[in-house]
Amino acid sequence: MNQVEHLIEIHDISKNYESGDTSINAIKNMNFYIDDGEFITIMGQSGSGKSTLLSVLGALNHPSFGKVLIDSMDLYNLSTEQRADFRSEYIGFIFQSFQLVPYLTVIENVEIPMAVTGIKKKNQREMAMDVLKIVGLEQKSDRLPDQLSGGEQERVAIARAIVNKPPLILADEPTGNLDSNTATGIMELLKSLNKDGHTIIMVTHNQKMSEYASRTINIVDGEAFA
Amino acid sequence: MLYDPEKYREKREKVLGIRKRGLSFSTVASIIAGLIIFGIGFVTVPTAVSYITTRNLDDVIYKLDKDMIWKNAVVIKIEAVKGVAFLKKDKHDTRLVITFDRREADLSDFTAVFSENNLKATLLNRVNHRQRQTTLKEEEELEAT
Repeated sequence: MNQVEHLIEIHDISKNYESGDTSINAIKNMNFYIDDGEFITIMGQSGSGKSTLLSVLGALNHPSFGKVLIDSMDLYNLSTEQRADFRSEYIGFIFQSFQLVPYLTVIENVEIPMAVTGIKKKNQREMAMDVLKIVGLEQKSDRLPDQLSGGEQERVAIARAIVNKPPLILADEPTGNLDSNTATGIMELLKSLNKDGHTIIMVTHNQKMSEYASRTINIVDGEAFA
Repeated sequence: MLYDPEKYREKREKVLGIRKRGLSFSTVASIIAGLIIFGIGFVTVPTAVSYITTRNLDDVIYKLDKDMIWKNAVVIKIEAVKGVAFLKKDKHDTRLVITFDRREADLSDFTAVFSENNLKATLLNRVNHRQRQTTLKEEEELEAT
């Protein structure tokens, strides 16, 4: 057995969807690795399979074939409960549409991921405020999401993603809904998080955003070209 | 940067359940349920066992004429009767209390032994063994006060 040398290893994964009588190969025999501390962009046209790949990496979507090793663990050999624990411990998700809870304040939104990790309530508040400082929103912790701009909402989403100190941040088009200046600010923030040790995998179709990455994986019709 | 197995060891152990984060709710609930069942069992099981083992026992009390004492040879013969659980002499050995299983022995078995030994014994009382134990306990408590 080969010694594991990479944080993430993708071995021969494929993902097929059945649509009526036809089978769609969203991902075809992908093989690649990602090292600890890398900033990866996954690029590809709409429908190329990049979001499917991100959901497979995020322990959300069981591949039809192949295996995904993260931190030496075979992700889809874990039990459902272990995989849920894996997500809470290892992964911070950032979505294009922010996915903030509208009736919770900024700080309460950031505290959500800690609710499932058994961190004491008092410590939750301190940790949430710490990450809000990192994203520059400590002064707006008691606002509701709709009282913030798009860029600020994305910063809250980023704060929520990093509050559990996950090694891995998965971002699906995090700047897709933002204007150019705000998008640059968000990318600078992701870059600084990467320097702090977070491995970042970001799906984007924007070539300019890939300039922040240390490496780009191109997806064309379900196949990966690193 | 190559993979460092030590770097995320704590997270990995949490996911794989190697290191437990305190007691889970199900564990605590199981312990409490176990303690309740054990407590109920501790109170009810001895009573139930006692009832099962003594429910068919009766006590009879015999006394010999002229306050004669019971000889050991006779006591041994009665002890040998099938169904006799135990014997006890009281009141300065003038009374003999025989505890027996009513399904296996009867008074005729005892009177037969008395006849064989030319003894004239008078039956003073016959009572359920459990009921007599309760009465004795109450008497002891009354005497103590």
